[in-house]
Amino acid sequence: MMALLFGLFLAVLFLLIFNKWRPAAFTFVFACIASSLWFMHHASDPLNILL
Amino acid sequence: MTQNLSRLLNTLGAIAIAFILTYAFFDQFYANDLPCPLCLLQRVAFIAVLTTLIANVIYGPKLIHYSAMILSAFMGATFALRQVSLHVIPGTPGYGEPFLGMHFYTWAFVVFALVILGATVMLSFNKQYQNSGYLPFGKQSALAKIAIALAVLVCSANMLAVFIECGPLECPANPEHYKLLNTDS
Repeated sequence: MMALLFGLFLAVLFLLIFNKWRPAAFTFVFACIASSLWFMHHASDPLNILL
Repeated sequence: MTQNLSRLLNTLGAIAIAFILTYAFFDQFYANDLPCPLCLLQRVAFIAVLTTLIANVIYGPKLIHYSAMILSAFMGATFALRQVSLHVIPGTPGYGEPFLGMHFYTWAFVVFALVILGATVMLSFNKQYQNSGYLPFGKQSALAKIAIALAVLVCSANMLAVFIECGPLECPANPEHYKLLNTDS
């Protein structure tokens, strides 16, 4: 599953190289949100960061 | 700050981030230091920063790219700070071998903080945004071509290495071997 995150950013890089900035932007945002959600799931006590 | 200078600085930044990720690979394979899930998330954040730098190289500097760069670095700093906090209590062993006196996740926090600082300074120069537009790969400078190629290479290598380490399922908290190879590291 973690490899999927790298795959999303790889897709973003190729979309940027071939001048498809709009799908690249959406994919980039989606990949960042997915990364953060994965972190929240694995951290299990994310609020402790703020304490 | 002209557009060309901005593109050059973004190119150099992209090469620096690619070098950091390449060194992480060197540590992984040479020192048998397999990355944990938090380590991998920090690598993801480095890739995200690298992507925004490449966006500045390909499309020219834009405020939205710097904004995404800062948010990506903030995301990475959060992951790194989480890992620092897990090992900060005296007597708690760190994860992996230290590098120049600090662990990789501490260095990651420092680098992400520098990225936020650098992006904040860079975005303040207005002249770089004039007449910026898409530059095809063939028309890029040699250094920019190297940066773009390195970005694709590093991202692909990470994707492959993580899949070999974790397979299609969740990554183990303390990885000791590559799941798909089913051997010790």
